[in-house]
Amino acid sequence: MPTCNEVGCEVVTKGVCLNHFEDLKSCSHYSSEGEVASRQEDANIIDDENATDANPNDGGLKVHTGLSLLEEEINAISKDDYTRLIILAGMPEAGKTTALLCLMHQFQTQSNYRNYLFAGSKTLVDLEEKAWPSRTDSKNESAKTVRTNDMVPKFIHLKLAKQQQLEKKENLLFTDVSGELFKTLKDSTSESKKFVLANRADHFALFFDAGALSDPSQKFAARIAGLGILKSLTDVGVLLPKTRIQIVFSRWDLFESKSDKDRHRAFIETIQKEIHDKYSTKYSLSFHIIASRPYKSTLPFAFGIDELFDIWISKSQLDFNRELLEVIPQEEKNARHFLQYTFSK
Amino acid sequence: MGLHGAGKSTFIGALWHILESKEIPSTLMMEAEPDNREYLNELREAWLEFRIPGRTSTQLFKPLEFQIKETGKDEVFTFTFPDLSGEMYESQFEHRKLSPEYLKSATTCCGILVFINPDGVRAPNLIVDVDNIDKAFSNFFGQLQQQAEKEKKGAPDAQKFEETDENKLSTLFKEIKWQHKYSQSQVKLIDILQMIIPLINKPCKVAFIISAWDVIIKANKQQLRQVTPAIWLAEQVPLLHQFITSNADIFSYEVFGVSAQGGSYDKKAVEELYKVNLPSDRVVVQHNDEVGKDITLPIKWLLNE
Repeated sequence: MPTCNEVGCEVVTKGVCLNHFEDLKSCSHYSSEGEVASRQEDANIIDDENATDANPNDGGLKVHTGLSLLEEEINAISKDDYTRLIILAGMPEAGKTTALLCLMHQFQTQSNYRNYLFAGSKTLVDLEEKAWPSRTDSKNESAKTVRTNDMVPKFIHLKLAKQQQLEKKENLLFTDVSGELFKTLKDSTSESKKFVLANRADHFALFFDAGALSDPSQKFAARIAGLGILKSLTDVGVLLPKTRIQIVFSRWDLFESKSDKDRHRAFIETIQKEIHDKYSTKYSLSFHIIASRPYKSTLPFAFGIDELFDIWISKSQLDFNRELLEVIPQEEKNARHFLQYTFSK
Repeated sequence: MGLHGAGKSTFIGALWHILESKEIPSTLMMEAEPDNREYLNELREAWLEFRIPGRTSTQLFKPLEFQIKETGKDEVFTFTFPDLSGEMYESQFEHRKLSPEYLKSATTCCGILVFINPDGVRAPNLIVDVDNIDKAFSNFFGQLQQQAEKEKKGAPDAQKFEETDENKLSTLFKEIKWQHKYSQSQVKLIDILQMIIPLINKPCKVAFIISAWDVIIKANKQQLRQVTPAIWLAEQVPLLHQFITSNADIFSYEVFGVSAQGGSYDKKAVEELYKVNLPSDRVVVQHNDEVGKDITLPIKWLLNE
């Protein structure tokens, strides 16, 4: 990966040298060594896997696990293609994983989705395992999504290509994190401060369970919990203004099935207004209603997912700030660490 | 390359017969007879006798290899089937490891045949879709019942259908826990192709062979819309189609419909197959809109620049 040490130079992202050098090698700030190091590192990934995981007598090769990625594994993905990070946040069973599975299902069953083609994924095994309980082959009586248990942030990967521009690939990384972690973040300032991967998030999608918000016994607690997550992360400053925030009212089919919808809708609108009033001056906010997998409802499958996807795939942190400053520790000059981007003010 | 039941063995049996017998004119020929032809002949015999090769044969798990070349050209190509059973590919998907022999094949290959059996495609059918159908049926029968009750004139023994726990089909089945083998076919094929991307020479040619193509041709005759092999791939395994299309810098591909059997081996259907003059007359190969009998067509495409 090429690098440039000149503050404010966009050559890495836009190919334009701040000092107007046409031959980039003439610029003293520019280094293409990263490319060589990058390819070598990719080769080393295979070689290292050979050395550490393969039986020397066997000579075979271990490949990607197919499971959700750890933080250190996403660096390799981000090297080759533009990568966006989307944090799916919310209390347990708010529908975060179901929304992601629903998005994947759209690619699995259509010729394209929103003019994008599926170009690959390092986490297909995990996606299949997570989707299984919702499929007829599982023999489940009703569609389920198994609760995510991981408190350590992991990531689900999708590589996509625009139909009209197949050579340009883009990676989407979705957090695969338990709602219990967000419950912890809501309750602890010190834990919220540690959630630094939020610094790098292009999108922060906060899920509110609309079924809970329209249940008199749950609605107040559900409101406080969701707002608490947002407050904790913004108060400690890990959610930066460059991160777009989507407020997602999920499981909307459950809302639709309730009587007295007007009263419930009014309650949801107060939450919307509260969030808007408090955060809209600092953050780019949008509000969405979705029903990923409506149950015996008139709502179509993947209701509302289109809008969310369009935002996720088209918007990023770079839209806000043209000056990308890549902070790289001196001893790792040619390395690229996806989560360690910072942005000039 | 192909999962279990994808039609690789039958294809090989037919191919071996056609190359070795020179029954039909072809520009492809054997460079030399393989030293160990026992298993090839076993497959050929099964094909000639209108039967599926035995699955218990341990030979299924051994790599198969022979040399072929085009008439008038010097270059010789090695045609390799690393594993006819398909178990190796299932194992790759589950255990995430490539054998040394497979590594060697992948790094030196100039083309790949990927077999897909339409009957064996596991698709992502959702429970909610069934629930919605259930709901539609419940509404429909509910309306019928209301209608019937309006018209009924005191039939005391009339029974209503009610969905009870006893007649609920879902209670007859226990939930099945996920295993790798239950993953979608298209997902497995994508992943085993992804595994070799760092190893292959790019772009790598991929010939998709949709086996049992006679079934599709038969269905086409009854429908106004004609499904070509390429259309089948795009519609039935859309994720795989997107993957191979969007990675044009890595893979170039064509899709062929092949029926090596020529039809079903069921007792009644096979009678029709007995009527052929030459064994090779059974074979059906479709590429785009053209239907022929040259089973070597996919291989010729792989070999030609």
